[in-house]
Amino acid sequence: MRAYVLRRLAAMAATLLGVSVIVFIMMRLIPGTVVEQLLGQSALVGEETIRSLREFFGLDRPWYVQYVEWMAGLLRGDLGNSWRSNRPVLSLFLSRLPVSAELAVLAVAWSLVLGVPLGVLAAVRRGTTFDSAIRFISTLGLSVPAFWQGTLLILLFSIHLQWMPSLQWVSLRQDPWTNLEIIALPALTLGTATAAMISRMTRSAMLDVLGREYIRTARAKGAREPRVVSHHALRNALIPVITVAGVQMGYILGGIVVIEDVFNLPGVGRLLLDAIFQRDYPVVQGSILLGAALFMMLNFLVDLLYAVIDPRIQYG
Amino acid sequence: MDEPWQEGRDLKRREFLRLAGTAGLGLAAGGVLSSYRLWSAQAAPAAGTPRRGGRITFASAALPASIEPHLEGADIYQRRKFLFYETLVWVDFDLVPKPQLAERWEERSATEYIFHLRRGVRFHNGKEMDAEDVKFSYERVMDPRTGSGGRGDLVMIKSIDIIDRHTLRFVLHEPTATFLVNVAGKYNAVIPKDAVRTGRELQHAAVGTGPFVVEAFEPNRLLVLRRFPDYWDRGKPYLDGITFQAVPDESSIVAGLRTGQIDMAQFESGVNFNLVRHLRALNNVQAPGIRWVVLDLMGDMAPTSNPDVRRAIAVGIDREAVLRIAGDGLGKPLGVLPPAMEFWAVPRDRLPNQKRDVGRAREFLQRAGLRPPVPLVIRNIVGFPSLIASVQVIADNLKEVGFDVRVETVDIGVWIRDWIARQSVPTMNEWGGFIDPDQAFYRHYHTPPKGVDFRRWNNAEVDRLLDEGRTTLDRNRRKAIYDRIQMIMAEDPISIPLYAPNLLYSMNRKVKGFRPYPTGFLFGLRDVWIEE
Amino acid sequence: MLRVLRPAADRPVGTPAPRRAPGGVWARRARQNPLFAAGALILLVFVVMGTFAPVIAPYHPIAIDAQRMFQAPSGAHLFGTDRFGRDLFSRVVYGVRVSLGIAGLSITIAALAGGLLGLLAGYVGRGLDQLLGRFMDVFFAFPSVLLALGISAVLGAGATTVVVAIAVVYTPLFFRVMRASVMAERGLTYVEAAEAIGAGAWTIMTRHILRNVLSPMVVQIAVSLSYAILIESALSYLGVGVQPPTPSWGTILNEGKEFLPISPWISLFPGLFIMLSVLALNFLSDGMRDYLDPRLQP
Repeated sequence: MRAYVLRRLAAMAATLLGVSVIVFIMMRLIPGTVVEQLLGQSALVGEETIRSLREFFGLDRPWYVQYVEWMAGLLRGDLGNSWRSNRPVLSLFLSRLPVSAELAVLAVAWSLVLGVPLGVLAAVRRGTTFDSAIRFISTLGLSVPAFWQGTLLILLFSIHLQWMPSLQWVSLRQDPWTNLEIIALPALTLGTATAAMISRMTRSAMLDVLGREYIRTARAKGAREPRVVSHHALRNALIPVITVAGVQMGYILGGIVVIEDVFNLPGVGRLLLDAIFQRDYPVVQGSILLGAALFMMLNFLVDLLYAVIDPRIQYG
Repeated sequence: MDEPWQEGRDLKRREFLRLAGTAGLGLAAGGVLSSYRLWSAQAAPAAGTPRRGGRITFASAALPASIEPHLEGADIYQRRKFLFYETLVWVDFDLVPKPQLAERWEERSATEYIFHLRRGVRFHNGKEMDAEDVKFSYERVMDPRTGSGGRGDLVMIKSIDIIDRHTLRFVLHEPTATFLVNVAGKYNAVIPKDAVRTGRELQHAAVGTGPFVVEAFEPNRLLVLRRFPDYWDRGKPYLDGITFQAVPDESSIVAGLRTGQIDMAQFESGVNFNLVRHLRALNNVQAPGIRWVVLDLMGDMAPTSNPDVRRAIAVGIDREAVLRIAGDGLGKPLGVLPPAMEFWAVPRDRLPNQKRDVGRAREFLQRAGLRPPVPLVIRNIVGFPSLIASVQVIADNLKEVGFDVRVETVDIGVWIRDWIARQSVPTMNEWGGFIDPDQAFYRHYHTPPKGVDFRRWNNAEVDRLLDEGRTTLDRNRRKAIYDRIQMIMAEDPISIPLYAPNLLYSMNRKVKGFRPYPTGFLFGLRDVWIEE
Repeated sequence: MLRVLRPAADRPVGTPAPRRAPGGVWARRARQNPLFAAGALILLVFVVMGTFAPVIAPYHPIAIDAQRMFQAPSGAHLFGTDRFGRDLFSRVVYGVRVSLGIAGLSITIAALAGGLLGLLAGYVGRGLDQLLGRFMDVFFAFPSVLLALGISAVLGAGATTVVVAIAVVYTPLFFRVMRASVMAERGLTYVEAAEAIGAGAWTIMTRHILRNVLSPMVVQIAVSLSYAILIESALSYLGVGVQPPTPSWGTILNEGKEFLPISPWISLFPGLFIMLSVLALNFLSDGMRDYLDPRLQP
């Protein structure tokens, strides 16, 4: 087990190194730098102004020197400061993280609450109209572009129902009710596709398990069907479902970028998007690296969770 | 076409009498009914006396990434900047330089100005402002190592000398008509001499002398201002604070205005302004602005190197249609300078090549010896919604004339890199924020090294006129010079201005005393107060 | 150690697909799985629409008509008009070409590149496998929308960019599917037998393995196509995708966003088309998956 954990951590470190290189190079391949963004399109400045701004941000040095410096900072635990606002990247990221985390957790929770029972029901009533209906609806859920759904929901609530949550972000600690009002629609939107995915996955995993010998044995022993489903089948079927939920976090992290934009939430996604548009390299590099590390940690934890749910699995 | 004040006429019959006498009249009617003296009309004080107290939430689609006083060039920043930073002089609502941190100035000669500073002005950190701070601040903008976009506006300054703690002398290289206007320029701000060491300190914290203090700033999202109790102009400002909030989706601003979450907003898109403009609960103000959408052509690059091709493009474009479609009809089609620069702008009907005439356009093409379809690449800078809409109308217009337009979308970085290398291709752009024609023309059209002339027009006559206009101090003689320049620009259109969008504000009726400023700067918020 | 199941690669199919009789299969499948049939039908309609767009579309998709701005759906304009007075039905019909074209092209590239690399990694194994695997892992660490966004930013907005971005995003996925399938096949006796009788590596790969790993690849292609359509629309929504006036569904949807309160139809119809096409692809891939994995058949 310990060897396994160490190996996984080493692999993660290697991947993060790769991520850091790719982000670093990619940002520098994007046309334009922070200098042009700072000046704006209407500043007809001289070349020397641009040169001094490039020096100011250290853009005049070769990229590998910049990379080594960034890495050296990283090893000291310093992610650098934003080029535009001069705030430490770490504190920027951490100040935005609760918004995104809350959004992601609620979206996953919502998708599990909705997806698992629907999937189980569909599997138990396999072949019925009910089953077909659930399959249809869940496929539909997979097919709606999240931003479109979000935009339509905003339209419905704000224009037609004359209801809108606070435009200013309020954290869960400040005022839970207002906070939930703000985050309900985004979480719902973000969770739709995942809920659909989970219900489909639950259904097929349940069908798989229900066909197994030990279930037949349980039935033969006279166990009542609800008990068979809940005790024997569901427990085993949940393993792949949890994997999917974990992997879906990747989808959700990507979706967060779009959903935060649609709903104007001050999360990590918005931070990143703004930073990309402004060519604020330290912020982009730092938050992508932190985001990727978080994502990989989550996957890792999901794998460990396996062992808890299914005692047959052992890591070695 | 739609006049900016036309909705006032809509309003006039039915609502004018009803509104008259209510406190809203000053703005609702004054702001939109006035025709000639656009700004003065809005200056009419709102009925009722200003009252201290209250905060407002002001929403707009975007907020800046930094609040650096001398570096940040974003328009969304500069609009708000002068609520917490100030300069020696400011240009008032009638576009006349007026005392600010300098309580008066003397013109010793055409090249020597003495500024007498206001006494007892305090920075937000409590320090008293003196001549050292002023000298430091202007020299910081002038220093090429700072990298300020405002450096070009101060090149006429030869030296800044401190005479005493409250007196400075500015010596100029040559007489410069725009000196005072440029001293009030958008990149300037007087900061304490010891406020910047690394150059990064003021990116997220502000130490100015303005009526408001920056209480909180979250890049791109939120800017919270609080009343500065030690402001030199006693009694001002009236508001206890202003919260600027970014709401990228403007239809949410509409909803926020309706529900009362937002007290006041500026709209970029006319679509959403059109949604609120008939709501009685709101006071909607539109005013002509000094900002315009333009198609810039290039003088050394086929096919636009041929003046006849440029004329074909100018008369091939239906500027009214561009305004109606891309500008939602809220603005003015323009000739060379926007109508909001009312003293300087030559009216469109006196300029050549303004009306769409497909037949003439085809003749021009023929005269240029070109056979349709003539390929034409037009660049569009990403991130400006009005430009992407305009270029589509233009492409369609020009297709009829015989051009085959290909639109190429580029990042702003590509655009800047190319004009520095003098390689830019025809590009859609937005220009604005100018107070004086010298600001609008000199750097744009004067050949290097004095100007930039990124359109590579190389017009010697315009060069001469621009130099003359810059050093001529008599306002009426300058007017004659710039009239001539405008005629040349319309006759040989190297840059084709399309329309000037109106400034669009909406506020609830308790918000009183707001006046729009032609460049969109929010000077008006200094005088805003809340009715009980 | 445990191999984590990815949703895309779920159930790498170990068993070779059963042979089937050529005739009447589609009819039987349609009866057995009406959703599959519906998906196939919708896609067929789209393909026909795209192919005959100039015949079907009543107006030119980018012709501006300032007299007919913001018209609601009517007999003359089935889906209404946009701010330029352009006929939205014509734009959406032409949009089939752009949106499905981009999805098809990008996934073809991704499937070829990822498939080939996966085949190599899976067959050769060892160092090459490690190297390619790590490399693909790095790309996997990015959320797909973000990666596509970054690539679009590097290359500049436009249709070609979107194709490249989606292809890059999906190459690692096909790599994994192919690699997993090849690994599973490699252990099977018939490959060992082929090796034993001295067949060359290339012959083994192409003849035996490739034929048997095609089914999971086909399923993956169908699923990925649906994601490609969604990513194209998301990129256009963020403004870095296909640029106007080119009528991709995502671009039309994005253009209409601003006008939702006054002219909701501008965004509604392209949104519906995106949804329908993704739905059809999902039905199709579900149907194929059921067929290939008989345990799950109703």
